[in-house]
Amino acid sequence: MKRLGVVAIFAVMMGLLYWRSPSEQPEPVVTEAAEIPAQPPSQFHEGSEAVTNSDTPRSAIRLSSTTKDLLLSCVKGSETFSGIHSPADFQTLDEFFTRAQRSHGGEKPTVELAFQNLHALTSNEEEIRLHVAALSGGETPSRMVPQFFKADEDGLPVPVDLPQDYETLTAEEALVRFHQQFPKLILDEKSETWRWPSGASANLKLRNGQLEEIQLFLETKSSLACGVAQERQIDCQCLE
Amino acid sequence: MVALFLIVALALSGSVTNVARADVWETSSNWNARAESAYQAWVTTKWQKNFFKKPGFYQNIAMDCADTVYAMRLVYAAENGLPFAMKDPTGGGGIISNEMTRWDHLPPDLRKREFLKFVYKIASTSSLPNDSYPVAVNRAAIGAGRFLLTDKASHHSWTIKSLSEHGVPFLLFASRPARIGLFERFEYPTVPFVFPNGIKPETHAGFRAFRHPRDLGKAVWQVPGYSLEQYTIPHKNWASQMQKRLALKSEGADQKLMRILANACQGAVERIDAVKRGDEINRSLGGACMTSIQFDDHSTPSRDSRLKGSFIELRDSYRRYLRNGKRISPRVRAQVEAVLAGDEGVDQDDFCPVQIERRTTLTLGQVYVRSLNDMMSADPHDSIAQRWGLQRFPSSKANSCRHFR
Repeated sequence: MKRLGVVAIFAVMMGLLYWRSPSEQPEPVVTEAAEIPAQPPSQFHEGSEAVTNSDTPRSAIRLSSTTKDLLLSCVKGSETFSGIHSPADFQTLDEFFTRAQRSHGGEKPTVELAFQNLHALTSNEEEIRLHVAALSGGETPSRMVPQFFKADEDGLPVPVDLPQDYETLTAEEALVRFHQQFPKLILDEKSETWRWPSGASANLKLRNGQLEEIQLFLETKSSLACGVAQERQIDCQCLE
Repeated sequence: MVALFLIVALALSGSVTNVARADVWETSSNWNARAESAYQAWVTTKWQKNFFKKPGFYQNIAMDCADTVYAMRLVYAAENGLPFAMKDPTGGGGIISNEMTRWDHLPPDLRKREFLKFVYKIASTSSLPNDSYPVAVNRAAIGAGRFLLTDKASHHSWTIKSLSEHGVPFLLFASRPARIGLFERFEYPTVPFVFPNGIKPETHAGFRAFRHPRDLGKAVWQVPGYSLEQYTIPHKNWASQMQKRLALKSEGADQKLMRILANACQGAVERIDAVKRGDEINRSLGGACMTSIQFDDHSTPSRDSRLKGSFIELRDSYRRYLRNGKRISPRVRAQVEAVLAGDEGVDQDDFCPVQIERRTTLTLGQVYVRSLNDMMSADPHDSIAQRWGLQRFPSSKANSCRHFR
């Protein structure tokens, strides 16, 4: 395994995949019909300490030349990224992915939700959580179910019964209902899998719309892994 | 002097608090190579299908598949003063661990029981990837105490009790609806079930090991032992490739055929109860349809596909052995041929009677031919006869009720 460690100050740039100004917004990713549809934009409760997307600028942050070199060497030979040839072709990670998409005639990745957590405050200012994940060992393929939790004084989950009005809802219906019922969202956390038609794929972890972790698996059998090491810093590795 | 008094008072109040806020169990040791080795030895010898039926503090706790995987690690950690920790799957970045004090009003052993039940309520196949990592393909990395996870589409998992010298995993697992006893298999589950979207790392499917608590905060690729090697094994012949790489010696034709036969028999026999339970629920509902959870618990598409996989492996292995001129003993040959003959086969020595109802018993061959030809209904709204392919399906009720797929 060859490790190329790079620490660059562009944590927010990763989040640009999701948080962008309208003018910079690329085509939205395709959502498979069988999967969770795109959610309405989260309305985060401003008074909560759990919100971490406060004063972070949402404009593109330029990648360092070292990081760009790392990305280029890592995706060498990948059909998905064949439209990117030199460091001048992209300035941000956002552009890196957008460019890849454009070079394939606009082919977009499909998105599959692995799990999602919504935390909100009730009218009594109590924390309530909705956790949506696959039902373990169930017989129905890809079946996802909603679960409700409260939080104890340490912020750890306390299972509560699923409210009666959620019992007949699918997971995607439950997410929408929760948004409507508890508008004071304090956390929106999810894990997704992206799959490009060319064969590349990625696992992403997002927290309040900001990308926390991405692992990109290329058709070339190598993978590019980036995670937010600390605020505004990201650690990338090319794994072979 | 006053300062000294305050320090003593604070120290005392601290120790009082510590007494009042007791951990689920005290951590007296740490995970290291020696602890991992002892854990593997314990799983090989003590981790059995009736583990939760035996008298003790874990007796009669029902569980599903992911629960079983977490339980294997948790129970050993609890009994040996080792830390157990997993990421809070409900979000927020917290850690669920034996240092939780939520049950400190209970006696120590009851705390462990309640903690285990708590983990069952929050854990799932979706949380397993965050608490584990994919391992390399060798006997040091794949064996007792590790587990096998499927793609999200199949959302299933198995614990590995041991790895035979022939490179075959002995799997112990649970399913839904949650129950106390565990199931066993001595095989590689089929590729279409474990990897329905291909043998790809983004699915998290494959052989995995638990992270040490100190590695929970790391990205998965930074965890020591992380490897994508198993994703380089081709889709075709995945099981035989894995077996070959993990074997100390090759498995003979008789051994392999009897192992597959035993797995197929076990799968067919276990289906009897699953179908009966579904039928009971269906009858109790009268004309009403099952809820999505009831349907999920009592339908059998995954189970049926695994059973069919065993039968296909039996047929293909037998044909391959014949083609290659491998020696098969007359006894094994007769038993395999009796199954492959389907309805015409005569059950050898009452090898595997499948009693689906009080007065109806099928041979494994009869199940084989119905399974292979997709004649068995997976829908719990159908009758027992339809579920086993003795009558055409769907029933009018199954036709009119919603299918949750």
